[in-house]
Amino acid sequence: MQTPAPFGYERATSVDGAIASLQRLGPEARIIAGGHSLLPMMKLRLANPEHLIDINDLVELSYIREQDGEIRIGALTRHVALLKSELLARHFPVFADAETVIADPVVRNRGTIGGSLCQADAAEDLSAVCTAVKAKVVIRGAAGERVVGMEDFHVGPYQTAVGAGDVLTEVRLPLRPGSGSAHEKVERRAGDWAIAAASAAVWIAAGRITDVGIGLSAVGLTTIHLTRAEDLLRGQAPSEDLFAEAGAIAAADCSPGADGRGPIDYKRHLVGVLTHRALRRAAARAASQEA
Amino acid sequence: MLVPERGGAVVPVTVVLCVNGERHEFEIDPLERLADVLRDRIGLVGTKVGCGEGACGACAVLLDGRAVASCLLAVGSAAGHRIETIEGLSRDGLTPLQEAFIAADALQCGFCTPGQIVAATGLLRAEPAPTRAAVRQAMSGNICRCGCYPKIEQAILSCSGGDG
Amino acid sequence: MSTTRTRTPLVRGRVGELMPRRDAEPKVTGAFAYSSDLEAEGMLFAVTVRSPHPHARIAAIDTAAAVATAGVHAVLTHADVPGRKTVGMHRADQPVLVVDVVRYQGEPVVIVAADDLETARRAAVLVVVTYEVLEPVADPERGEVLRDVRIRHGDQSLGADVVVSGSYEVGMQDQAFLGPESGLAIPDGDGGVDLHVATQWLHLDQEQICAALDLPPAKVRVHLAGVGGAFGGREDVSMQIHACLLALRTGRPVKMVYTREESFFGHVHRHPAWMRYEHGATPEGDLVYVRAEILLDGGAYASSSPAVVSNAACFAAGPYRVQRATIDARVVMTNNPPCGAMRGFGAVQVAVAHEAQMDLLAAALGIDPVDLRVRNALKTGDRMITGQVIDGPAPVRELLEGLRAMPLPLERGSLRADLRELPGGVANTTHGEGVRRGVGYAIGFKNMGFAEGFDDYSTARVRVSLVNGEPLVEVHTAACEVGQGLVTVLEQIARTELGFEHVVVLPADTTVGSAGSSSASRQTWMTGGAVKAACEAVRERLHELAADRSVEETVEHHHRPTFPLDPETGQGDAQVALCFAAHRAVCDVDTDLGLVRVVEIATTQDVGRIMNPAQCEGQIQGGIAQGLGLALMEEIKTENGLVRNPNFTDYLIPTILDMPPVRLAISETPHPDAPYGLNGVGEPPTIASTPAIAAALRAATGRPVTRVPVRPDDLI
Repeated sequence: MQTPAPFGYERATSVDGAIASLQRLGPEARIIAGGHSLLPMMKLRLANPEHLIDINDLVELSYIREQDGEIRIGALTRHVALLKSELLARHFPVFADAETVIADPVVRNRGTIGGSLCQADAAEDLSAVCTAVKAKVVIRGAAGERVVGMEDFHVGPYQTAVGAGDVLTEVRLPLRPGSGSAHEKVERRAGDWAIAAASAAVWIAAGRITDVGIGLSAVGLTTIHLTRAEDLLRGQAPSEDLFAEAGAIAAADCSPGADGRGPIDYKRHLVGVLTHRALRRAAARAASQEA
Repeated sequence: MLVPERGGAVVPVTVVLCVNGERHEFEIDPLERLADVLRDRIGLVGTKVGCGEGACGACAVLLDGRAVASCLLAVGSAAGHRIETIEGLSRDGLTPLQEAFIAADALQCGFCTPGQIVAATGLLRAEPAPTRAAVRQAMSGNICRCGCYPKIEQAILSCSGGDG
Repeated sequence: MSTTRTRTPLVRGRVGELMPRRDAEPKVTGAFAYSSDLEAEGMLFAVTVRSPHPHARIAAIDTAAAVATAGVHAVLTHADVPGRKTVGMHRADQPVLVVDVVRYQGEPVVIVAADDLETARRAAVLVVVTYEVLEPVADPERGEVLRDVRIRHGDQSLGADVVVSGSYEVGMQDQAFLGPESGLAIPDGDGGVDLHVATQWLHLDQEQICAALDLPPAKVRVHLAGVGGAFGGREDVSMQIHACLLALRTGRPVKMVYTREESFFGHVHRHPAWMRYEHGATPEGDLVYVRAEILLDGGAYASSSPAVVSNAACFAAGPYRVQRATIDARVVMTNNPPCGAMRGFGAVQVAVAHEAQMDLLAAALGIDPVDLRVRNALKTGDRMITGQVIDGPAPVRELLEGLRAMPLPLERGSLRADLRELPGGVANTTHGEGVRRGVGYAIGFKNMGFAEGFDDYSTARVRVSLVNGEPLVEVHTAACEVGQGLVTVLEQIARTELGFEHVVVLPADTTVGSAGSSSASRQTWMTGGAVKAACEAVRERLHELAADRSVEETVEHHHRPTFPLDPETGQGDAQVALCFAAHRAVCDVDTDLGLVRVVEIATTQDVGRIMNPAQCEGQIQGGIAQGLGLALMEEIKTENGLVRNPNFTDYLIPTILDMPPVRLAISETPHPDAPYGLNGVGEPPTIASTPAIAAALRAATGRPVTRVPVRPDDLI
């Protein structure tokens, strides 16, 4: 029997220290935050790091603030803080929508936004939310910091732009006027993973949709970014017919698999209805902001 | 043990836990789950393990005042934080919430009860007067297989300063 | 002494009174010792090596590497079972450890004890079992028939003018008790063993352990440890024999605690069912006949399947008067997970079908569904389809009328709507779009106690002594407190009968005679009856009580005899007593998404006598929660014999958010045969709650809803 590599664990005292450790230890080292995704993955042998760097002490990564025309969220911000943030609720109510239905309160007290995004499970809600609101993430590595848009963040199933020696440090949400956003999820029971979920954000000016973002959870190998439906909506006046049409495109453009949560046809149907409803609610919220 | 299939050669680290106001020091695999350390090393067996994957709430403890799943928490990550278990909550006699659980008969087999009380304690500390809807939402991570939910709701609301 | 013999009406905590459950305080403080919390000096930890295949022949078992692991004390296989190598409730067909053929996934093959859990687990991985994988029999239509119950009641040629038929399906439900199987076996150094375990029936465990260990009962003492829920799933043995084998082999205490995944493989489940029904009635709405073909999948071993299928047959028509019944119920054996006892025991599955049929019939006749049920309601003096004349209470009409008279919840929109109360709940997904409300009624019944000639009894020992001049009552039985509140009720009974304040219910163990199982809604009736009788016997002798002289009586309480069903006609006085409950479900459905919100469950249940009001309510609410789970979400999914969801992430159990308000009316029609007139309480709430929800969903959506759990895509 091969002797397994020694398993190591350290608690980072700074972001740079964590990055230095990642660089030193190589690709078998992983960051652990809330641990609610990584530890079960390790238990199922879906992940087998030889070294863990615990960043739970990095309180400097736990914040939600407004700065330079953006909402900035530290990667170690717990789900419960996202749920309760008034700042976030004011500008991006989609977060509270999603956070209400991410796992359960006990798990939300521990899990983090950075962990959720880096786990990049296709059924995970925040990836769809961030896709919809056109978030950017800040990734810091040995070579310094880079800012990556959500459109470039997911590079494959469970794979993101965060490299082996990198730490995701921040999520940035550009503030633009006339915005509204909403997340619609169907789950079999509170606390379950989504059967399907749709996040939508719209920006409306002078009665026209100036920009729109739609992300879908649990209906493909990765979070789905609905560019074709976005193209349809951009420049149009919001209407029920338009949103229904976008829903129909969404149903066509997703690629769900059949599993214990439901058959393919049902999931496509859900995507259509949920996209429609998310757009309707996002537009209504945008209108109430405008007023 | 949180991650049973990991290779054999664990490098133990020194972990200092603060549990119910007492200091405990271990040379330990940092990935041992907090639930096991509490139960097997400190003897605080009031914390139960129902599912082992954060899906039932029986293992809830307060970490810096918030209810978390101790079956999903690596002991290394818990070091240095304030941990309260059901035993800690009961140290000075029954709390009003525990009295309320008894009065409302909000338990049957009782296996989930420590987790229910821990989660409800966390709720009432953060939000002393939750509404009925807030109570239901906050307690949705704690399964009671005996189905005592109406009485659990009643017990917690009786401790709420709000109008329910 | 006369003062102590006078019953003081001021003593609180008698039968029928509000009294907090005796074990509430240790349970709310975490001090209550469950079977998984026990420890003993020098104890070892044991784990089980299980088959990953549902059907396989074992070619070889190589334990050498495991045995050679430092810290391992024993690695045992079937060859190490000294006595009978099989166990089973009705027939001993299940190997203690697999001998040659694996018949279901997760079946125990090897057990390992080591200094600590980590070492035991690592050693278990080193056990090499060579399997010749066989094709599993996963389709119950191809299963071997274990028992076939035929009921031919009335003139078999009777036909009817109005006929409705349907096919129905019930998924495999898990008891999912929250405290997994666990226990601690301690060798006594003299060839015997003490087992502390969470179980429902101490003496049946003892009997099976004795058989496997080839030991007399005196050498195997079984003690009840704290039970984290049961619901039928702890009636068969799981780790009991394994822990005892290891303890005797190693001479050390051995602790065994299943993980949640193991628990899914470690106990029997509720039988999945496939049912074809035909009902015939007169145009006026009198039931003429019920025909039913019922298929239950018993899985790999017999467990209590022969009794479950009997119940499914006996209660197949529901609590209605029927001139003719033609029932063919069979339970088959496959390589699927073994099924057996779960709360409701066969009556749950058929209620899904017979109540759907009553609604279909009402629609065909143009009669209100409750009117149809009332019109055909069984009453005292009527015959069941087994020919048995009901001589106890059968308040079917009263329960239905009472239920119908209960107010309905407010319509949506009549209050400022909280979106969280709509389908989808906290997801706020539904803002009223496509939401339709439905109301459904159902009623069900089943037997209290075991049936078909089983001579069931319970034993109680009651002792009164004087401690510092004050009388102390000690009640000793082997009846298992599983959360139902039995210890509290027994205390109330002793206090009621003897009038003394200070009553202690001793820990349950096998040093007193059998109490039978904490199942079949029987324990308060049976052991309550035994305690009552023992108290009465003690009372007769209280004049003997003195400072140095206690008074003790041990009494067995039997219920009246029952008789087997005739194998050809299914006729016979098989039941002791019947219990009934009716449910009304109000559901909102988002018909675009298939999402359901159960708005309210109203229920009427006759309990004979309320022994402890809060506990009685708790049983009813809890049974409804499990009925709701079966209706909407709970199902073990298998694929060619493999369980796909043995965990709480994928096996969904209702949360507090799923639980609706329960509008409850408990009635008390004294049962003439029972102590205090009480009746079974625990199971009836699980029977009709499921079909009531299914009916409400049909009413809301117009969809057929012939299968539970209902899937969202069934509703759009």
